[in-house]
Amino acid sequence: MNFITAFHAEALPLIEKFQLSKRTEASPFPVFSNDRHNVVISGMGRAQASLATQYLFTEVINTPEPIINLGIAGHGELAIGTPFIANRILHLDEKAVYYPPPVLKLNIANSGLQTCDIPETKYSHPIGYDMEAHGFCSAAYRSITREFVQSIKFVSDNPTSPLVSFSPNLASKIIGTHVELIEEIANQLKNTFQELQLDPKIYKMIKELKSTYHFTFTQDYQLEKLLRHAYSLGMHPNDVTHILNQSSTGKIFLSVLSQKLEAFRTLP
Amino acid sequence: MIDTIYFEEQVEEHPRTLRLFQRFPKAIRIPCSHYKEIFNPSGQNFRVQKKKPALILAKNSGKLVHPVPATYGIGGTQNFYFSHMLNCLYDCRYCFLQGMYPSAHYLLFVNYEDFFEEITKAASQKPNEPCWFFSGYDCDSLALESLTGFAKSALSFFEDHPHAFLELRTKSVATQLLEKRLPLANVITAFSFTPQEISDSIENGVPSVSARLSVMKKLAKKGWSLGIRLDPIIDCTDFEKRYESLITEIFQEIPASSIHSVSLGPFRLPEPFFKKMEKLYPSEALFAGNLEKRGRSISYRKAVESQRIETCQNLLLQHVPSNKLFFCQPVED
Repeated sequence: MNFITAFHAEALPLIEKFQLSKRTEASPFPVFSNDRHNVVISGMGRAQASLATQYLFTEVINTPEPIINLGIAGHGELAIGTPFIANRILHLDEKAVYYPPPVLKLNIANSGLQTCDIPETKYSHPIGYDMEAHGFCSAAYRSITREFVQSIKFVSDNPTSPLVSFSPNLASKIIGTHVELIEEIANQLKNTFQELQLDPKIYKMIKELKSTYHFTFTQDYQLEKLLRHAYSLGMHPNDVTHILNQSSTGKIFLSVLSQKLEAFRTLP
Repeated sequence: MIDTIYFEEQVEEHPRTLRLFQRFPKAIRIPCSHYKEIFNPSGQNFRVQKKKPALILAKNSGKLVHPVPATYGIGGTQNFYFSHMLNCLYDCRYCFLQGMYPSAHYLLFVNYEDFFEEITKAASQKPNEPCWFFSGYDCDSLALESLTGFAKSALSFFEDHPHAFLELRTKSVATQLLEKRLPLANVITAFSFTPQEISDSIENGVPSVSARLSVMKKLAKKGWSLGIRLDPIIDCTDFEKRYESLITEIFQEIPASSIHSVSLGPFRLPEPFFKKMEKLYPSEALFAGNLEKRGRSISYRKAVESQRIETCQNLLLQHVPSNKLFFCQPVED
């Protein structure tokens, strides 16, 4: 799972929970990773959040994957320490309002969230106030469908306990209390995302075939389509392998596979 | 059933909005300026949203009644469709809504009266010709009736406008509304079918064929006119046997005198819709079938399509006269 946090203190519970290591290569943002998780620390503000999100998608993972913006926020109504999912993210200077689709099955608070350029101290509405989420969404939506871009916030200040200054210890403590919840959210997003992907066996076979034969750009497209169809239509993988073993070129393989698939193309 | 309700601020106090808020008191309510902020953005995944669609309540202030393509219709000379709701309770793999809309949320326009006003205007253009209005293009006309109450309002309206004709199109068995009231001569309820085996595999959430026939039988007894829609025709193993069995079952249950019309339509999708649907469901066998691009649509190969349509036509003509049988074709064909 991929996370964007503004501060190291917000990332710390994740770094500890997932045993992440700081990446050593030169980078405009601190990045902590293991083989399954990445945390990019953006720094404060929506511009930073946007840049860090872009950086994650283009330089760290290079592929569309679910992403969560995690951090503390003020709130006009919720109690200190309460986690909430942002369901409406706005910035008063921006026309775009974002509505992260409700895909998580969780029994936690939902709330609107206003991203501000300076810390909010008036808490005028019963919504959350942060400084990153809008910039995060605007960047993330360019890389992955909206269902997989979620903003989870933890209330650090509210009208009865207003923000005085950022307390790293408080941020770590509040988020650390909910690290199991964060893991649950990450798992739900990951599982939903995986349901949409093609069977990894198909990718494996495509890789093997490409290492065996040369395919033109067009043939490359045909190859993926035919293998996808072979899988969808229930052709046994051994039959595909058999065709592969009998074919002397990639072109012949595609032609024979296409012919063999004809018998499968009627819906059972 | 509904966990999240988005609502346009302008309809927040609308009686239908308030009723739905009451109906789903635990649903999270999220205000928006315009439904397009939620429904229209690209980069949404229809398949993921379809698992648990939210409800969007809005006012449609655009054009509300649209002409139907000339190749569609069930005998009328003036044909229009309207959509008080976008998206459907059911999840049929062939449904064009998956390819057309970026979002799977149920979008309900609560300003029913504006629809009726436009219907009145459209019907009055040629008052001496019957004017048909189709309500089930972008949603199932009855499946979410308990939530929308639209059909109830529509029946009252059409009762007062006998020269305007309404088709309610459905796969639902939520027909209590019709069962409870006297039939209207200008309203037909059309039920869509595929053979049960096909329905089981690609029509998620749809009531069984026998359950639908059972409610049709009740409606026929009450005197309502019924439509049969075999659209889309889905190519499958044992095609003739399955469709023969389906058609025989339908006409064993439903008296021919109650049948207003039967229509047949091939599986066809505009190419961009097909591509989007294929991407959403890359492992779906339906999309790997005997298909080809014809005109701007993806359909079964012409020979397959013609043969399948002819088979159904012959089977149907054993039960209904040819003047009750209609064909829906893509405009390009």
